[in-house]
Amino acid sequence: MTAQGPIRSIVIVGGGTAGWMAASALTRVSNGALESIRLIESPEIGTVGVGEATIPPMQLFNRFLGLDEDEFVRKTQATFKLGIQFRDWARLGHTYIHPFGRYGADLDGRPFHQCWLRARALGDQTDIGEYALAAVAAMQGKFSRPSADPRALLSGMSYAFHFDASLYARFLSEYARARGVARLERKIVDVELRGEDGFIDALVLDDGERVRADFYIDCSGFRGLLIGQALKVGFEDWSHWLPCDRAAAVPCASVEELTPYTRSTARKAGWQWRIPLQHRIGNGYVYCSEFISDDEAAATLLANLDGEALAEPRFLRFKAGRRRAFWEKNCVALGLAGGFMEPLESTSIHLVQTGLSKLQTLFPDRGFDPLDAAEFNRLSAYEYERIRDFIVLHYCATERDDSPLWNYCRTMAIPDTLRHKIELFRSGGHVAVYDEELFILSNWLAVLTGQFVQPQSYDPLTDVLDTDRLKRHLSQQRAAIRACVDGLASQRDFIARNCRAEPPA
Amino acid sequence: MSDLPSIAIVGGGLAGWTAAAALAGEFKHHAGKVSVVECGQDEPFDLSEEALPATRLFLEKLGIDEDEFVRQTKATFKLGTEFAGWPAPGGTFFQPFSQFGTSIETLGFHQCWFKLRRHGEGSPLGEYSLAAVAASLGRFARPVADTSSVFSSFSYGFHPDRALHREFLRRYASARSVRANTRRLVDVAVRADGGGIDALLLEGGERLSADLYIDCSGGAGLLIEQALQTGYEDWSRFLPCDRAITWSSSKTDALMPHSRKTAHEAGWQWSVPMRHRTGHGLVCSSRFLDTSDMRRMLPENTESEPRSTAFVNGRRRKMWSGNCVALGAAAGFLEPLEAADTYLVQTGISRLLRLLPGRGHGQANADEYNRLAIIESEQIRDFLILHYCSSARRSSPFWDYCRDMELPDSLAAKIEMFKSRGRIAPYGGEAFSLPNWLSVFAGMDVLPRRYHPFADKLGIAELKERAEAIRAAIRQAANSMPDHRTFLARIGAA
Repeated sequence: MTAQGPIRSIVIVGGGTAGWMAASALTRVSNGALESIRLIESPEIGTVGVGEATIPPMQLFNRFLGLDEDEFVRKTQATFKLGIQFRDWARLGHTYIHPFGRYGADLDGRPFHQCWLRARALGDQTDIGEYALAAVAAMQGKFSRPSADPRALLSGMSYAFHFDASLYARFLSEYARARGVARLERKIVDVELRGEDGFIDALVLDDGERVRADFYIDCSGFRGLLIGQALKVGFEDWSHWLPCDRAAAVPCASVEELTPYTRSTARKAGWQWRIPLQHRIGNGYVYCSEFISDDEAAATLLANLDGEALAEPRFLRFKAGRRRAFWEKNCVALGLAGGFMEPLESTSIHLVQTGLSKLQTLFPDRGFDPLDAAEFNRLSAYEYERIRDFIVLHYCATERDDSPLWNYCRTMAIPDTLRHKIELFRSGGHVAVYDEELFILSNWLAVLTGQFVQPQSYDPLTDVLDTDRLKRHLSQQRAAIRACVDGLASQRDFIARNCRAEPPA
Repeated sequence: MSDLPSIAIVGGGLAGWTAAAALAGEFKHHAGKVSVVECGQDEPFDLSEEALPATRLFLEKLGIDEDEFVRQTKATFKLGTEFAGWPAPGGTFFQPFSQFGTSIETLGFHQCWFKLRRHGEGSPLGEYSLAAVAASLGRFARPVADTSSVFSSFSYGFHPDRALHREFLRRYASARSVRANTRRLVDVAVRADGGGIDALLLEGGERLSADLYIDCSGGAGLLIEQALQTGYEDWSRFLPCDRAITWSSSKTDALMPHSRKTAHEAGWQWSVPMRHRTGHGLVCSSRFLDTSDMRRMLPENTESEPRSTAFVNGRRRKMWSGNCVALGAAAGFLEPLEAADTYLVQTGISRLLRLLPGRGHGQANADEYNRLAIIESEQIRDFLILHYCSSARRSSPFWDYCRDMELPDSLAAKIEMFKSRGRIAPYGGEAFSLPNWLSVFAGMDVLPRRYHPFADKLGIAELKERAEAIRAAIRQAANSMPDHRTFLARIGAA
């Protein structure tokens, strides 16, 4: 017999960023419709990640919770992020930026990037980054919040954050606990399943207590304590497209200027991240263990820091891919328990956020209609796959032939959906955007052009435009962006004025 | 020197001139590269006399003044469609171009409405739609942009006279030097290398070659099918209607801002109000009603000679094949139950303009065009099928068939999801979105088994009060709008 009635209780397993984001969002949306939300975190499990980078929709999550953004920045040692700088990805010595926000304005209904492509065909040499406010501001260390007036040039950029993930988890933990979420600081030793249907019946804690709920959220990280170990949901392996499987991470001392962007530097067997926080810099080398040893990776990492290392490197192991089901029976997996993609485009936090949004829409009752889970799984799989394609693009569209990793990636078979995008862009500079896709035209444009995917022609309708007018349009855009950036404060000044964090104790 | 392709459009009906006008608008001083060839084929009722709200964007892009369009095409405004006899004989619902209510406590209004209905409370869904209420009162005004106003909650389309609509677009295109070739098409030469069309052979021996051909020749598909043999996916097992008879009657005194689609025992019948006449059509399935019985269903005195056409609901396997793009009935046919036929021509030509290939390249563009066009036509197909399969009409072989027929998997999943929890999964950019699907489900009395659990954050009494306030505000707003005829007179369209 199927149970009836509303969900009364939820247990969240795992107190990392994902777990506390889930606790905060659920207490906010359910607004009293649930009797209890509990979160179990083991004091032994630390939060993964040395400095976390995000993408602009994270602003919406904080706003949804009603958080004051400046306070969030102070409490998490955060800095602002206008994009990602990619070094040595397309070829050694080459750099491009994936900025947040728009490129230049359209002309007579023709998309900006087609105007730019036509100008290039006429001999113009300007980089597409010169037409993105966020890219120009980022390179000069400037920051401002964008204008809300869509006519203003300053409305054309967007921003995200770099923050300390453990501080964010702590910040959200205070938020959630103040709103009635109970925190159990214990270790789970067993997961009991119901005999009749295999649903999760109870979690057994190290002191023998059994914790039961109608609904379980697995935020236990890579190992997937509930979704994988207990419910035996398999994993779809994407390592043939994304072969990196380890990371070494280390914080280092901060340098003078705070760069308002993440830096990703391609290395022989992977890539290195640099995430500036107010009090230090997070660094890590994501690599493929087939092509480099842990020791060599750590040595490379330590040899490429801005300042003094503040700890011994920590090693992480992972595999790119996703769970075959994100929602199975009475359990939903969020964060790394649901799937893993390397943080090349800073999508981890976002996937937690959209998972929660889908969960809000499809919130079940105790009958657990399998259609809810099926719909959640369909949407999540699709979302993961679109992001996967975007990340794979960085690897496959490269000229690098200086190491086995890059030789593999440059020639590997890629997903059909990605191949279609690349072919369409090569054909005439068109960008195919699939329904409900996170990364839109400007994102794809940044990486396609940055990784040297060259269109063979441009939109022939731009031939309608007068050549002089087109050139004038482009030079005016560049000049306006430069003037606008000249008027902005440095990120350091912006933070000092609005949201300076206390130095850590 | 320009990379703009030369384009030959085959078919001088509404589809052909819609394409020509859109190309003229974008090609500007290069519009001479576009020519239109009459093909002497009749399209099945040459597209309907209804235009969805997206037409407004289409006109705006061409720089056409909307009032001028309404004046010249003898059009009326369209707030939606009345579906009479569809849920069951005697039952009616209205499909408005509008939202229903407003979110309550971050929860979509429809979820709150499901809860009210579950408790036997609340009014019929249409009472919460400004377009539906205004239409029922025969009133019309344009919406406003300010999203905090109830007057921003709806949109509108048009009922333009088909021939005047075509002439309007023909004048627009011709004034921008699109060439109308007066010689008729007699044959099509195909390239030996499989690359598509080589040339159009016209009366008098003229050969017309172009970089790109647009087939607007109607269901025959003179280029896409007869010359290139692209193939057709037949959907008549889902949409069994295949015959239409059309005629006109003189205008009536009441000028309603909506069309009416009335179900009958083996199909349905339309009536579309224009300022100078009313357009009618009778749509049937020949499997369930033979032509003589169909004729008997016509009124005794039709003021114009009834015209019969045959069609097969479905789509071309590829809408873009080689150097040929099909639009209108040449690309596929979907009966005009929801006026999607004119819409598909507009979106088709806009998509082609977005993906216009440069010299020597284009297979990826064609692949992308087909990918999007197929998604679009299948979504509309599913929406049309919903009108048939969810009806409670009984006791005629046609409706018995529709009730029991097998459905496309995509639609079956959508219906199951709705029946389970009232969810209508959004797909970006589709012609018919949540409010449209919702109005058909609700209109057909298909309600979900459960509503969203968070709707229980509000008690039934409070929910009832909030919904009633929305209903009253909409009623009051509708009453403040001018009479449809008065509004038309105000813009000089008497």
